[in-house]
Amino acid sequence: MFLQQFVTGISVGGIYALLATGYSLIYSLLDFSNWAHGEFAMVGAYVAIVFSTMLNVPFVPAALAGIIGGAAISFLCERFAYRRIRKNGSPNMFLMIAAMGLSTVFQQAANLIFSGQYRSYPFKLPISTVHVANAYIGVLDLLSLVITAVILIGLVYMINKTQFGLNVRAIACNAPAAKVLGVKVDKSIASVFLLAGGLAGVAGILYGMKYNVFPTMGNVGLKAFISSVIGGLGSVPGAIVGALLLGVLETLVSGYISSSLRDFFSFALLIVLLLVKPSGLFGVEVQDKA
Amino acid sequence: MGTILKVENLTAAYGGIHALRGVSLEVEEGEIVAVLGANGAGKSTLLKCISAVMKFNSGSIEFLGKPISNKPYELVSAGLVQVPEARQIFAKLTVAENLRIGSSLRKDKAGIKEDMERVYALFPRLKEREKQYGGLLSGGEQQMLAIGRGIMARPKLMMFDEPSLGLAPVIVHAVFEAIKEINREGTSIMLIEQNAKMALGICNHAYIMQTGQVVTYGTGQELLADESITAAYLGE
Repeated sequence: MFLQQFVTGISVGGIYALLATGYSLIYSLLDFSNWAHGEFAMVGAYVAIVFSTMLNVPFVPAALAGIIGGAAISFLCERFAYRRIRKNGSPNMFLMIAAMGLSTVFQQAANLIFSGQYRSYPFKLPISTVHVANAYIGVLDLLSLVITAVILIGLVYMINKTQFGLNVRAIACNAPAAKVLGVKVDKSIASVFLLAGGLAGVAGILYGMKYNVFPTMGNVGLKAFISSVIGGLGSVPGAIVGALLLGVLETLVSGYISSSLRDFFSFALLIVLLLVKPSGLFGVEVQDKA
Repeated sequence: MGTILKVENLTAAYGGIHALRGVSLEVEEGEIVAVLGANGAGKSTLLKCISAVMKFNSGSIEFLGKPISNKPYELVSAGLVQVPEARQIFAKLTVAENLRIGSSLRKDKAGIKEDMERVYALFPRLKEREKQYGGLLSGGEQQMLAIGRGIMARPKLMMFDEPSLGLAPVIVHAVFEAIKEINREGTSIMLIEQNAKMALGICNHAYIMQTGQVVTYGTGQELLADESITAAYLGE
């Protein structure tokens, strides 16, 4: 029982991690909470629905289209909303408000276009289980876990070992200095939005496979926010650890106490964390010297 | 030897306040040129215009005979690199990573490695602290890192903005020695300084600015010898 819950928790946490890492990257670069992040996942999930159920495209290419859809919507939000707000020197609060507006617009648009009904992918594998050491583990959970692990390892490698990742970390640390030293700041930010949107697209499709696709599914973005707070806002490894922790804790709460307490527990945890340790697990401060 | 940087009749303003009122100056290839003046003379504004951080109103800036780009990364890849005021170290990046930001536009792996070795030869302290976070270095070490980061771009002209600011005299001395060494290796230097004595001691030519204008020009030795100038414009 515990093993089963644990694997489910890790796999749910993996989906949160795909969202939380992208959310965290954007937060670290632009210092604002991208409240539309969950909607990027929703858009990706619906694009995959359109391709797989309406255009009868096989599931894997349809999923790829969904990932591209998530990346595209994220890129467009940056290009036409966030970048303009950044360039006209407005406070960061405006970015957050714009993100809230975009989030509502996307939700309502999905509601208008697709109606509020729950949709699912024509993909049957998820229902089967494998029997491991007295536990029945969902194939979808395992699949989701493997996909997430591969992507997150790739992401951490990219952030820590490539010039692109280094540039992104430099911008997060001191954007004006990075710019003067020749880092292509706007291009790097646009690339991060593409990447974060693509990750959100993967998360949206995996989430949709598990819980169906519906207009308000983007609210899962709040879980990304909680994960990032647990790990320390703006830290990518922190977001991953936070997301896995949240996924496991939530699953254990719904498994051993009650599933109706799951969200109550998550938000209570958020409030306690903000009160007790707002810098999170990985929010270590390194001071600038004068 | 040609002119590497040519600024002509440059004017710039913050809102309605004129920070530069027709500044002209030149840096010849291979030279160290100092731009001196008290606080508020317009030195930093000049540097901001040259490095495309700030827009100027009129006049022209030419680098290697061509008008400068308004995109900082194009300036850096053309060879115009600055060591910014207050060092601007990336606190959460290691020393080696800070250096790799300096070479972010370059693709020549062998050359990058070679320049990294050059930086470590010039500042052995940085080699010792290679894996430490930039934010944990002392002020002097951070200045070395900022200079090293500039070298990593393989610049033709390196512009220093107040490199002696807030440093102990012994460190200032080391920093100026490093600037001389970089110049000896073939990089032209533009040095913006308040520490006039030190700057005049190492430069070929110097411009003295006051309230947005160049008021005096001469060789380092001439200006250093003329006490009326140091007294009148440099407050020493």
